[in-house]
Amino acid sequence: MKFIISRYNPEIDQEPHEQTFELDNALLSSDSMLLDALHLLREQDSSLAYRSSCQEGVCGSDGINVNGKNRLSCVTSLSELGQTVTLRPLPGLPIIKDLIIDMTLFYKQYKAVKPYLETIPLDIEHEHLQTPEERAKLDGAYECIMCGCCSTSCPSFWWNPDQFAGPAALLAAKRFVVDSRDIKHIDRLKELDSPTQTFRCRHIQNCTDACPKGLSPSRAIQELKSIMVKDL
Amino acid sequence: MTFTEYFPIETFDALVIGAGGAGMRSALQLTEDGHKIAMISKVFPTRSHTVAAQGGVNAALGNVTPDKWEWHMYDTIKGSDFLGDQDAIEFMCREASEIVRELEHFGVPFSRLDNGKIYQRAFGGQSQNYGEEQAHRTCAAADRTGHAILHSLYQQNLRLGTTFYDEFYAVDLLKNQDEEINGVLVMNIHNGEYKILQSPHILLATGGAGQVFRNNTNASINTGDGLGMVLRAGYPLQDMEFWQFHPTGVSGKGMLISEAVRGEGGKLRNALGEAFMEKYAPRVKDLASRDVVARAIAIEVNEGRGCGPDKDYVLLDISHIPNEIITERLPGIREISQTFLGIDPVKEPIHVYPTCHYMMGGIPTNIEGQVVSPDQDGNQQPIKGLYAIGECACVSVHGANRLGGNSLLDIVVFGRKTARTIHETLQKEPPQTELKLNLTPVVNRLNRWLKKAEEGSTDTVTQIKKDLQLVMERGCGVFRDEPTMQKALVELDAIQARLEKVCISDFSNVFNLERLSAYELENLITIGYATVVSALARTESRGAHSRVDYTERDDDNWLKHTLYFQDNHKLTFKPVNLSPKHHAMVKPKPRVY
Amino acid sequence: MSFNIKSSALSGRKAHIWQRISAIYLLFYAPFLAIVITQLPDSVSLKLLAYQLSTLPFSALFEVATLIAVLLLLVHAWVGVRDIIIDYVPRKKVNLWLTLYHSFLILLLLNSIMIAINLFGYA
Repeated sequence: MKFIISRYNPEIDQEPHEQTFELDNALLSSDSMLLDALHLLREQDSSLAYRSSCQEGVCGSDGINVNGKNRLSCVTSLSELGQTVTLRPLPGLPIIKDLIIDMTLFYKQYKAVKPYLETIPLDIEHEHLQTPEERAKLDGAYECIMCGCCSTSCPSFWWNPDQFAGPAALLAAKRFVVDSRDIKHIDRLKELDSPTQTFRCRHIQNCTDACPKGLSPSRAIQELKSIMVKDL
Repeated sequence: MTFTEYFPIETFDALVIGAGGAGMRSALQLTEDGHKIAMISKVFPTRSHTVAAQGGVNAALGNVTPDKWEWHMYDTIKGSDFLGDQDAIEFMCREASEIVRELEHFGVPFSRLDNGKIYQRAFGGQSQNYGEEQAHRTCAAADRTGHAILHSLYQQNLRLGTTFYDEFYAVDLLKNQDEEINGVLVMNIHNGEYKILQSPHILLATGGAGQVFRNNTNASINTGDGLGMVLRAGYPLQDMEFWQFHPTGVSGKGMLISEAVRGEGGKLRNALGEAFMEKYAPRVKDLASRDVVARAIAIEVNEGRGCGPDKDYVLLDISHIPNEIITERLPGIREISQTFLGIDPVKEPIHVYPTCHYMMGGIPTNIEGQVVSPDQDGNQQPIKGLYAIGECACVSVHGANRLGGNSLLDIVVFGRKTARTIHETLQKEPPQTELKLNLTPVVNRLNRWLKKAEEGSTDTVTQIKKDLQLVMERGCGVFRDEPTMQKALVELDAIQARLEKVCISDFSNVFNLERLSAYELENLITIGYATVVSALARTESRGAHSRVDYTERDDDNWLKHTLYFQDNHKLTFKPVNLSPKHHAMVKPKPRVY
Repeated sequence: MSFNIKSSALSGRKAHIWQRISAIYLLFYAPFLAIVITQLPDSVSLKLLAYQLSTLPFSALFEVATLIAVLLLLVHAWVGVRDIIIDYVPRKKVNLWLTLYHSFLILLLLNSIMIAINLFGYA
């Protein structure tokens, strides 16, 4: 297989460039994942840099742009990629090295939506009661692994990563807006009510298409907008 | 260039190394108590391996079946094959209900029962009334409980404004002139710069070291960095012979298939279609303790009843479980099975085989979370300023075998407890950090990796790591005996010799992952030694340590913890604590399920 | 770079609501307009058109509906173009462009009212 990989070493390079690697098919099996191939490529060139950790799609470290689509390398089967694979860092954020991006802005936007439950003081004898129906509202929102595949596929986030929360952060915002245990419902909605925040989303659904966990940030943002109209 | 003994210094009231559930829970407490702390993590916090925990966290809430912390304590002691310290287990089980409700208040999206309470599922080794009916004690957020807990703890830390040093690697502990632990040298992975973080209180929460085995459920970051640091500082590791092999890893690959699958009714079957756990644990069958199930699978495969062309795995069948239960309670398992096996478990059984999952041993601590080491008279003394929690620590609440659902409990209980210990100490003695630190050993270590390879040498850090993993898997797997372990020890010596020679080829500073894996490899090899040396010494079978040549548990000689020191691979021992404070001692007895 | 969009009139939610309301209104207005057009004989001038409209049985309703439609069309365009300006205009110039754009809309609105008065004033 052939891999065309975007390389960038800030200590040497002015800008990123492409490097082509060949990998002997004999080293791969039918169920190899892209991350397995990256590990083998690193054996060829130990300076090849990419993030990875859990290797099973739950830690969210290894988002990269694969043949033009943002994906997690550990859950992307090589068999679906063809004989030539082009790998680039997730687009729209600064590159640190090779396939590693600086996600500072992404995390900053996450933090800015106050993604934490605010609730009544703890009663050690009782948990909050929450019906299965109320709990079900969190499904599709709490599972986010913060890999950044969605936000870095979003043009609104590309243009204004310092202003627009982006799909991942808005998905997190929605998760707390719909949590029956949260007591800051209205405050949250007010803070999200800005043309540069929630309403900068145009629902082109790149986020939903990119999400490796099958979540739909676009739909979540739509629901967030509806809740704002209803509750504010 | 070489490193000299000068690095920029920052000082803190306390340092937390590792941003998994344990580190994050203690950082939360310390920040809340108003201390200036730094949370150091080699990955962004939510990438820590707690995120991969699936099944749940144990607490005797009694939401589904009647329950008491005493029963939970009994099950845990029995599960530990009586090697767990009973005072620590008692403490953990007593704290459990409160700490789970606290987690719920932090925002953990637990699954719910119809009455609105937290959903609890059945897990292996859980019983009501000291060994009778199956209990439902594991509080679950679908099959993503670790993810839910880790993210909620991170979120609460964001709320309080904890200081994070993300993508910083802790290289080594630093001692001052008085030989006290007083700081840590860290490397910023982003630019390769080193700095000293100085503090009188250093809390290790660096997680496990499953990467020492080839087939494991662990993240690639689980390289036992805290353990290596402690060994190099001259302190021991405890019970390193006890590694939990999770019965149900994806065969050949190792991804975890949660015990929750069996908790929800999944059945293990061999090539003949037999639900074989009936033979090994007639009463509780598939919900026996993990060591028992792992051994049963290994025996089935060894005796030729494995499945597939190579007869090297068994089947985990959930096709009889209603679809909506799978969708609601086991969605992550379905996803993993589809991604890595191309199998939809609703229709076809999952291919599973035991895989290295959890390190019961670790850095010896007391209930307060202080690291302890024997003095000249053999008495366990706390090491001033050093603490350990979570998988890297050995309190010991898991003894020779951990029960499913107890590790998420362990991390939050002792995470909070140890933060309180540090808080109390800080209130009594304000931090003093003016003492000079001894940097010579760590500078030598850094400079060692600046050497260039000799002409013609082709060995690499990656290759040595692969070989180490293979040696450990063959030499110290589910079943062990003297000759294979002796062979492994010889092979480890060869690997150690290669480590001393090998050089890296990348000398850049930004995200130099080869240098990082070299540091990690040093830790892994020390852990390999600790494991094999401890396992060779323990001439009995207990919990996860199953010896073919010593098949019985030997309480007369071995009801004690192993302590391994790096210096000359020395071993000493310490007694198991059999004196809980609020409950009668649970007497060791034969362990049947 | 710090940047703030001035004016409280820019609540995302309000704009969103107005965009929806105007869209729905125009959705219903469009067939109404089509029906009216089919009812009209060929016209040669605007003034004749106004006269012919006034002869239709529902002329008063249509006039009011059209006035609202024009206003809502402006609102709809206001939100849409404003979004484009916020998204694509360089940061430093956003406020300038928004002011220019708002002035333009006010002119357009005045213009529409004049035309309406002119047309229907004769009827």
